[in-house]
Amino acid sequence: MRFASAYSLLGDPGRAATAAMETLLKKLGGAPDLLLIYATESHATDALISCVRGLVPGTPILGSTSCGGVMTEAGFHTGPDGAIGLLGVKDPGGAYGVGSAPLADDPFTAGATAVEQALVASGRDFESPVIVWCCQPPGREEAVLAGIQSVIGPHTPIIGGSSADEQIAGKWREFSTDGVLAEHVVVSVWFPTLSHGAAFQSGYAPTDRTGTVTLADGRQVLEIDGRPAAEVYCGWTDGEVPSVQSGMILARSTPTPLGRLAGELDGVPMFVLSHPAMIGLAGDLSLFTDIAEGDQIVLMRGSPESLVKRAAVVVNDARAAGGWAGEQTRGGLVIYCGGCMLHVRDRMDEVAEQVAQAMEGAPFLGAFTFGEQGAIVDSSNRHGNLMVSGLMFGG
Amino acid sequence: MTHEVEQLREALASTRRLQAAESQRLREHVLVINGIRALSVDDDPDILLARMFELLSAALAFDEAYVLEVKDDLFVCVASTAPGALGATWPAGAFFRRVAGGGAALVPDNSRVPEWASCQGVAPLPGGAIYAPIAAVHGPGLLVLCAHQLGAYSSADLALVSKLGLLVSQTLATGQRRRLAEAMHRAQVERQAAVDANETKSQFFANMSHEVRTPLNGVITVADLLARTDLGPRQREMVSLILESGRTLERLLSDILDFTKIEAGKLTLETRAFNLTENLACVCDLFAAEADAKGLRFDVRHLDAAQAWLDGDSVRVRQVVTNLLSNAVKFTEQGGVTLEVDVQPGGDLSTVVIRVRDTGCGFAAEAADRLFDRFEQADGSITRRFGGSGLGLAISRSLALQMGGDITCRSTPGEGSEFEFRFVAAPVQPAASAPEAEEPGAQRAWRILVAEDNPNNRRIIGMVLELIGADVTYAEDGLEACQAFAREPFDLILMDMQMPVLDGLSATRNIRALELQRGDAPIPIIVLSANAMTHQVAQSLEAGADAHMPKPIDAAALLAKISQLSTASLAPAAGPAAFGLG
Repeated sequence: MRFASAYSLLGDPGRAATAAMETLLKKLGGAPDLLLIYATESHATDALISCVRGLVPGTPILGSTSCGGVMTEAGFHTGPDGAIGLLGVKDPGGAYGVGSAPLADDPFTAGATAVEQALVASGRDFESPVIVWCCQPPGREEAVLAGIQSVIGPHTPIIGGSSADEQIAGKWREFSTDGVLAEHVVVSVWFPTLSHGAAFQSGYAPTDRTGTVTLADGRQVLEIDGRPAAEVYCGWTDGEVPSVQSGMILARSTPTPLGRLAGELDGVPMFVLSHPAMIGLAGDLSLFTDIAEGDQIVLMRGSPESLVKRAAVVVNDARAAGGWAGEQTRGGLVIYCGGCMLHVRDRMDEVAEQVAQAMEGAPFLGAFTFGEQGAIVDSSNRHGNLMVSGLMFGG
Repeated sequence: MTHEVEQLREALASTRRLQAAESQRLREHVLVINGIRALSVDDDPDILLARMFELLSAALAFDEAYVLEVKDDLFVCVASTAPGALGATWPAGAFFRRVAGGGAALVPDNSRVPEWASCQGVAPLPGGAIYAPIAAVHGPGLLVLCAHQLGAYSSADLALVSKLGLLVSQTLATGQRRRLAEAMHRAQVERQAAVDANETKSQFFANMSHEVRTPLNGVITVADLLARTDLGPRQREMVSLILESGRTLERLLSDILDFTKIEAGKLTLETRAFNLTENLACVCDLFAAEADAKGLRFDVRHLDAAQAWLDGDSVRVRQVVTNLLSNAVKFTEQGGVTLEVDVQPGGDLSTVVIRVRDTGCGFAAEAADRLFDRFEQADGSITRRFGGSGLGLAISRSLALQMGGDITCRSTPGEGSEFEFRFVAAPVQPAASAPEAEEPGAQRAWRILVAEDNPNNRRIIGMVLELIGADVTYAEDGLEACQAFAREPFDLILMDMQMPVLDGLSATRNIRALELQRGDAPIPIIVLSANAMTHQVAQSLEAGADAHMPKPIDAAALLAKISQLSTASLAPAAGPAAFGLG
């Protein structure tokens, strides 16, 4: 099992795809058995996928748009014309497949359908894959995960990220072998020949500001402890996020997301984060995750320093979970929250460098997403915000 | 402060995560170690698989477990925790074959596995399952764990079960190798025991033959000598019966001894030049007389080519022909017996074809197949009616095969039989005629030293030597013989091979050494022994003997040999010719 990454900053999607693919094929020494593509929204055109498919017609493809750029072992790649990043997996002894389905009104069924298709494509149609890597638009990830799990069971790690754009304007797209897709779930199933390790964490610490969701609707928190949610949340931030105006608060709220207890790891509470995105006219708070009445929430707090360091921490944790020495790492994928990336954008070179060091030079591809998926604590699959999800291969 | 708390949390979380990963690996190691402990106690497949199920149930929750192995293109349950599952079968589909080939798999819903749709004997649980390869007792197989809960297992569980499966496979393989090695060892021990037993049997037969021959030698030789004295008609008839019975007994002993040699692979052929026609002449004469006595015609047809000189074992050729003629005469009541001899040249080797035809009772085709088996005769009553060991044809055929040929037969019951004896031998130039033995002078009696431990044999040899008026000195062992030789002069020594104190070969060597020391001319030494195999003759000659003669003693042959070897100028009181023995 071999990995290679490549990127391009060319503005033309077709030329960028061709340039990156040529580099990738040279590094890999042939067509990959699975190709992951992350690109900024400006590259999400049919030319991108058709150029790639023209070079590797038989290779299954998946990916999505990434916020602000991509990251590889060569650094953080961004530019005025956007960027594309590729990760090729060559593993003739393994089995891989990709499937996709429109979310429509039923994200659960979309998740189930996409993973069924991927399994059939891999030739292992009734087995549990070792790993599922997924891409879907932000909004209904929990239902998508539930749909995937309904087919393969709860114990296979489902890792990935939600497609992201530059301005939270709905320009996010998903990529599959079929082309550039909108509002689709794209799922890949992996039966690799190497060992793997995965980690999923936030790097935010809980504060003493806690409460209970007393009124909620989907991803909207209407009341906390019986009071308007925006008022409570803004009060918890000591005014860092002012409640006086309705509208987007994504950038301001990045250091102070809401956390929900996902479980405990030997006494250490682990949280899944929800990123407050908008204050509504009625004083409600919109999140990037589902929330339910009765959920215990806590104000989490993170520093820029922590956001810079935690991607490498996740990579190290994933490798440790895999159980091999650092120099035996062969390749991997990193999903880094797009909101966090925007918060520390001027230090992203540091982030990429630290991840590359943690990877000990092995190829990787990093994307910046509006929602992260991974297995936390008890190996159950979760969707969260402001998280870092890592998948490493080695041994 | 927030940053420090975050860092501490991250470090703690990472540590806990690492600890969790290590715990999982530790779980695998513990299972493997427990497995090694539990499985190494007994590698009996049934016990081993039962222990494996116990270990698995301690490490992992499951509702049913199966071990399947491939038999006749099906997967068959050879062990299970599910009652009634033993013997259940699954088709060898692509999925099962892939797993058995080494590709472990997790299945979220076992009822979707295609092989279960055609399973005979067990219904699938609608839940998660683990499939791990296992080298079962008779080849590649599967270890299957099933649960009622959908998607019950993780890849960590799969790794755990795969490791145990590998361990069980190795233990089964080790056990199988051990059992194979034990079986091979047992087979070797049994084979060696059989070889030893056969060797012991052969040795027993050889010893018995020797032991029986010694007194028989006495009976025949004394009867022979007695027959040459003045006897009344009644007494002559009685002596004749003793001689005939003795010689029959001697032939039976020879058959048994030959057969044991053949079975032990120790029968060797002696090769020397002989004239085929001359070699068979005495046999023809013998059976011509027997046939005549029964009122049968006896025809010998020597084709011209049969006047050949060949390099081969003339004694064994004669033995085979004797057996065939003996049977022919024995089983023919009217008509006659014909012997036909031909030699077909063929480059370096000639093929000798000897056919014996008779007009006797014959035998059925199915009996022909068994005729050459040992102890077989065409009809069980034959042994009772005509006697014989039943070994004659078996021995003859073995000899023919050893000579590069065979014996075949055909017969029509009631009309007669034909046996064809073929063998190959190299054609050689005629041997030069042996010089006539110098007739000893007539001045004094031969002084002969007889070394023989058996009193009867001493007495018999003495009687033979009386015929030539020899002056005989006896020694009861090899040492006495050496002492006698050192003490007084002799014309010839007859040396038994097996004697107490000092054996005949050692005594012969000592005597030759003494001669060398004295500067004496070598005295003729004839070794007498019931052991007359080629290597034993060679041993005698190597020890310095001039000749090796077999027991029972043929009086005429012994006297002829004495006459041939003696260089003394003194004449015997009476030569062998005087007794019609020369």
